[in-house]
Amino acid sequence: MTSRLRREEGVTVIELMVATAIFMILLLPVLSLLDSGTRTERANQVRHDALVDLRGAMTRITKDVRQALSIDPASSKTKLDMTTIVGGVDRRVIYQLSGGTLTRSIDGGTPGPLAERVTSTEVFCYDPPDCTLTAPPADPSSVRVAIALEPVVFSGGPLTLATDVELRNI
Amino acid sequence: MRFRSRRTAASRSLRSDETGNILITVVIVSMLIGALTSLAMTTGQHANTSSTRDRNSEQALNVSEAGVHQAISRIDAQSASNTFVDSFSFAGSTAEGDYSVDVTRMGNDGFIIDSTGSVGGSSLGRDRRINVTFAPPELFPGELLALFSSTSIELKNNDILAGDIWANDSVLIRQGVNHNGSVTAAQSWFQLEGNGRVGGNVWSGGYNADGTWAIDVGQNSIIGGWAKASVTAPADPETCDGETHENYDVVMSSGSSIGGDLTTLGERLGGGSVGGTIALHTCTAAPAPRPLPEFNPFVGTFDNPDDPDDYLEFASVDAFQTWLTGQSGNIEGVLVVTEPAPSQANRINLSGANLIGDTTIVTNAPVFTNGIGDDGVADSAKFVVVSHYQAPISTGCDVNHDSSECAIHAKNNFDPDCRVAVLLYADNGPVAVKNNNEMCGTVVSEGILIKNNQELNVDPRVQRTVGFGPTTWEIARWEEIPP
Repeated sequence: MTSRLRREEGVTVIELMVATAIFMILLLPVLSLLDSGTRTERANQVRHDALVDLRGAMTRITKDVRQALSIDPASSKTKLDMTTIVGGVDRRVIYQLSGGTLTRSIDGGTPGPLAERVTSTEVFCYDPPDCTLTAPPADPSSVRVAIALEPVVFSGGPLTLATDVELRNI
Repeated sequence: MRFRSRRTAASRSLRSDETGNILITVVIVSMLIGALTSLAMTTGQHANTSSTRDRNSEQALNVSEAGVHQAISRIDAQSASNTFVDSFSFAGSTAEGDYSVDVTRMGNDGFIIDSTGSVGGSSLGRDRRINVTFAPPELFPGELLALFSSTSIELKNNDILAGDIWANDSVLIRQGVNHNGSVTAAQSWFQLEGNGRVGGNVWSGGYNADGTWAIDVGQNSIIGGWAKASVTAPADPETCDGETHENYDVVMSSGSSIGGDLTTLGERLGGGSVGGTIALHTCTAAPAPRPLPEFNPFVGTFDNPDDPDDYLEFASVDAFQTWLTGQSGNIEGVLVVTEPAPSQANRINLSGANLIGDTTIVTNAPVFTNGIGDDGVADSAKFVVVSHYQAPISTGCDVNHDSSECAIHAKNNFDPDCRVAVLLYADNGPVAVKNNNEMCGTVVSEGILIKNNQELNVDPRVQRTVGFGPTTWEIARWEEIPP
């Protein structure tokens, strides 16, 4: 009976403290790693979401530009005014960068935001790769679209997507 | 033996005391590491999946375009070898993915190429679909013209026209003509007689025979847009040095007006008004003259071997007229008439004929019509008349005389409604049209005369007509549609 009680009397406070200390020493770097990983994952998620949105915007722009029927000579590096095919119908579409927001409007309607927190000062180039013209030439063959934006959670610098779009209908 | 027994008991006791802590520690640490790893893998997998889909989507577009180019290559090759191209379908693949293509022939208006490209498996795969209209080249790239003459144009007697006019030589608009469009007399003068109206701009590039004016706006006549009297190929395009300024005067009779700016190397004479800025003694270069659009059709682009009636050749005008009588005047298809001795006495006469579908007449003889119907046209059709007739030297086309030397002479209900789009083409001209007709389309000729309440509206349906232009087919419209 005595022997049995001795076996079940547990550990001393000192033993517990030592064990806890060792446990904490082991746990701290793991928790630190977990915290870091969580933060990184959240930043990556935000960055990834921003990238998905940016890709979506880029897909929309490149599709409109690719099948543009004409580009208004008054277009600039921050504004692209064109007649293009939308849903099988010829429509006037305007992309405009203003105040860090890139908007798209159809047939003079209310512009809708396409990308926000845009850091690029120039989005459209009409003579890639030189990009010296400030307005489209009379007979453009391609347009470069380049968008850089800052995600809400900063991580790894601004996101930038750029592509040269060949004009199929001009 | 006892010692061994005690040691075993102590050892068991120690393991019993410590096993729980170690296990818990291991479990907790393992869970944390597992969560961390799972987190990283989920993020990586998510990004990887998204990237794969995007890449597949981009590649699917390239693959579908490969299908389009393959279809174009087949059409061009067969057209070049004078072989009729009907609708067809095919499938193929590139290193990136597979495509399937449906090509639909639209009569003589071209083809619709519908190509779908597929890249990737079922879960991450992407399809992109392109719809391309492959059609004849534009008659006048980038613009629609109601009238084009490689020489001069004359309109008179209350005609109503809608559409732009281009003449390499002079343009004369007489007696109450109302024209909604712009006028270019590229290398010569422009005259608008009394009570006439041009709604758009007027641009001249020369001056009248007397050298007294370049643009003459008659009494109470109106030019709605700007007017510009330019100089043909000036030696010095900046100053026009060496030019006689008086040649480029703009005469504006009383009550006349120019709505926009007036620019001329000469002076403004007369009492008319100018709504915009007046720039006198200003040197501007005239537009360059343009050649007539080419007409070089491949027989194979018209002649479907499965349809014996869509393309007919006649060895003389007589043979054609006999056939026409046998048809009770009903015509459609492509009709090629080669007359050994073309003349006004030996010409194609379409008087009383009735269009029952798309019709193209190609001949070296003159073409005359005094009234033609389109009762048999179900919806919309295209009527193309091509005459290569070369009139004898020192003869002229007089719109008042039916047997004068016009390449195409159309009068009296030539096209009573606009269900039919008309293209009249005479590369050796001229073309004369008159008398209360409504016509939708374009006249292209060496010289054009139109008179007597003729109404003519430019019609985009003839802008792309097979046989015209430097190539047989070109991409007219490229559009991505949902797969």
